[in-house]
Amino acid sequence: MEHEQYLALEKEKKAQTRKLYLTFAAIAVVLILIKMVFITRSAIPTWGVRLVAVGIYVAIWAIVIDQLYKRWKAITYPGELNPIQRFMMRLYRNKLATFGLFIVLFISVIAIFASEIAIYERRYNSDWKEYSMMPPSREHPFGTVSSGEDLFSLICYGSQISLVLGLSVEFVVVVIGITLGVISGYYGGWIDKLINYFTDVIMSFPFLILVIVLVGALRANPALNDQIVDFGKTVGMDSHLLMVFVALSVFGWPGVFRQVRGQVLSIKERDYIAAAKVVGASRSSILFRHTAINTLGPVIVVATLGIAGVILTEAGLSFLGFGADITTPSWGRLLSEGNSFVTQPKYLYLAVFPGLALFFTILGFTTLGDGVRDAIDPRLKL
Amino acid sequence: MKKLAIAVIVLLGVYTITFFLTFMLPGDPARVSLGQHGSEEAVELIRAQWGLDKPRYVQYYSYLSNFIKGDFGKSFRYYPRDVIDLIRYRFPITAYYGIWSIIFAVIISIPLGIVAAYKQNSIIDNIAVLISQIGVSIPNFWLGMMLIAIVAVKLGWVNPVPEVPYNYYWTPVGFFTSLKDYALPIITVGTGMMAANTRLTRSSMLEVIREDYVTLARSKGLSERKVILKHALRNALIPVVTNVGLQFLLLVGGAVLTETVFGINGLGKLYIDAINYRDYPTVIALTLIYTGGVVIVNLIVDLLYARIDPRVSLR
Repeated sequence: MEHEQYLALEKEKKAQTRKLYLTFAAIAVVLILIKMVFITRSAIPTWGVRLVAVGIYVAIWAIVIDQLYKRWKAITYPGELNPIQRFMMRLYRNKLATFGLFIVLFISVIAIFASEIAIYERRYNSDWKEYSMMPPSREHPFGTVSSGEDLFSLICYGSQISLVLGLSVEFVVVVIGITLGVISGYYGGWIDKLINYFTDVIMSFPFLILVIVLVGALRANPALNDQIVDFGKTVGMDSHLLMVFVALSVFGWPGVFRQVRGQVLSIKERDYIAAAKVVGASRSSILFRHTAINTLGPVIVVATLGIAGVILTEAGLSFLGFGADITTPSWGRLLSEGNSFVTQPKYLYLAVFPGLALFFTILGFTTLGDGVRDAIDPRLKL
Repeated sequence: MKKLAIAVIVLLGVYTITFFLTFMLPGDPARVSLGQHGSEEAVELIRAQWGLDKPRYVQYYSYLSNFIKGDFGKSFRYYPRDVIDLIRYRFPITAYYGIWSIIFAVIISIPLGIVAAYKQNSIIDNIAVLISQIGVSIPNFWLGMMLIAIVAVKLGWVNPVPEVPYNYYWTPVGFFTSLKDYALPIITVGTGMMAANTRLTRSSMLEVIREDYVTLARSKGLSERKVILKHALRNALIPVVTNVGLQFLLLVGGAVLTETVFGINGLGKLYIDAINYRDYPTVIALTLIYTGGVVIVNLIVDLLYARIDPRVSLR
C-alpha cells in the first residue's frame, strides 16, 4: 500500500515538473519574441532608452528563472536543502567567487545584447577620417579608433567574440577530453599508453607557439585556407578566427583528458560500477551514465578556468597578428592597435579600455572557477 | 630506465609534429627569402642548397640524424649562419630578464604565501589571495603596455625599451646596473609567476601545517619560528621549486608577447620571426631545445621526488 502511494506521488511530481517546464518554455519563447521585435536598434533608436530597456528585460528574465527555480524546488525537494542550494551557499560564502560570478554574468549580458548596448552600428563609414582617433567624449565614452569606429561599441562586439570562442572551444575540448579520458582510463592497455604519449608531447610544447605554428600552417595552405575562408563566408564569421578555434580545440584537450582519466581510474574500482555490471547494464551505459557523468564536477572547474585560458590565448594571438582579421573587433586586435600608440599619452585610451575588458573577463572566469572548485570539494587539487 | 625511454619518445613526437607543421607548409622558404623578383634558377639553386628539393621523408630523416649529432642546421633567414649561433646570441637576453623575474617572483611570493597560510583567513591572507588572483588573470602583455605608459612615459623613470649594450648585463657590474632598464619586462613577466607561486606556496603550506610531524615538532617545544621555517617550509617548498623550474621554460612561450611589447630582441622575437619568415630549421631547433628542457626538468623533478620522498618509487 505504502509503495503504491509512493509511486503515485512520484508520478504526480513528474507531471507537475513537466507542466512547470512547459510553462517555462512558453514564457521563454514569448520573452525571446519580445526581444526580437521590441528591443532592437530600429525599435528604440535612442541609446539611453535602449540601455534601460535591456536592463528591464534582463531583470524580467532573472525573475522568471528565480520563480522557475523556486517552484521546481517546491516540487522536487519540499522543505529540504537541495544540491543546488548547498552548492550556491558554499559559493556565496566565497566573496571572490561571488564577484567572479557577477562579472561573468555581466559580460554575458553585454555579449548577448551587444548590438543593443553598443552605441553605434558596425558598418563602413565613408567619412571615417573625421572621426578617427577621437579622445573619450560624450558621444564616444571610450573614444574612437583609427578607423573612426567607436571604441565602446567595438568592445561590446568584441565581448561576443571572446565569449563565443571561449565557450565553443571549451565545449569541443571537454567533449574530446571526456571521450578520450573515459576510453583511456576505463580500458587501459595500449590505447591508454598511446593517448598518454600524445598528451605528453602536446603538453611539453609551449602552448602559444604550438597554436601559432598550426594557425600559420592553416593560413599558408592554399587549399585549406580557401575552404576555411569559404566556410567562414557562408557562416558569416571571421575565417582567421575559425582557424584559431580549430587550433585551440585540437591542442586544448590534454588538461581535461588528464583530469577525466584520473577520475575514471578511481571510479572504475567503485562498487556501483560492479553493481551496474552485475545488474547487466550495457557497456555504453556503464561508460556514459556511470562513469563519464561522474567526472563532470572537476571537468566543469577545468573548463571554467580553460575558458579564461582560451580568451587570453585568442587575445595574445590576435595581438601578434595571428588571430582575428583587421576588421574584427577582437580585444587582442584592439590592444595591438593600442600598443602602437602606447608611448603617446594622448592615445592611451586605445590600450586601456580593451585591456580592462579582457582583464576583468579573465579575472571573472578564474575566480569563478576557483570558487566552483572550492564549493565542489575543498580538498580537490587542480 | 623507463622514464628516459618515455622522454625520448616524447621528444621524437615533438620533432615529428613540428616537422610536419612547418615543412608541410606549401609556402616556399626559398621564394620568401629571394622575394618576388628572384629568378626561377636562383630559387631552384637555393632549394637544392637547403635540401628542399628532396622528398619529405629524406628531409625528415636527414634533419633528425643531424639533430642527434648535435647539428641544428643553418638558418634559412640568415643563411649561412648556424641556427645554434642565432640561439646562442639571443639566449642571454631572454635569460637575463628571465632570471631576474624569477628572483622577483620568488622573493615576493614565498614569504607572502607562508604568511598567508600561517594566518589563514586574516586580512593578510585575503590580500595575498586577491593579489595572486589578479596576478594570474592580468594579461601580461597588457600589463607591460600599461607599465610603459605609466612608469616610462608618464613618470619618466625608465626607458620604455631597454637600452643596454649587448651582453653588458652579464658582467658582474652590469648584472645589477642593467636592472633599471629591464625593470619593466621583469615586473611584467614576474607578476604572473609571483601570483602562481604565491597560490602554490599558500596551498602547499596549508596542507603541510596540518601534518603530524608539524604537530610533533610543536609538542617538542620548538619555537614557532623553527617549526614553520625548518619543519613545515622544507616540505611545503617541494612543489614550489618544481614550479619555478618549469616557469623558466614557460617564459620562452610568454616571451613571444613580452618581447613584442618591449621590443626586446630575445628568443621570443626569434621564434616569431622564424615562423613569419618560414625559417624552418630555427623553428624546429627552438622547439626541440625548449621541449628538451621541459623533459629534462621533469626527469630531474621525478628523480628528486624519489630522493626526498621514499614513498614515491621509480618504476
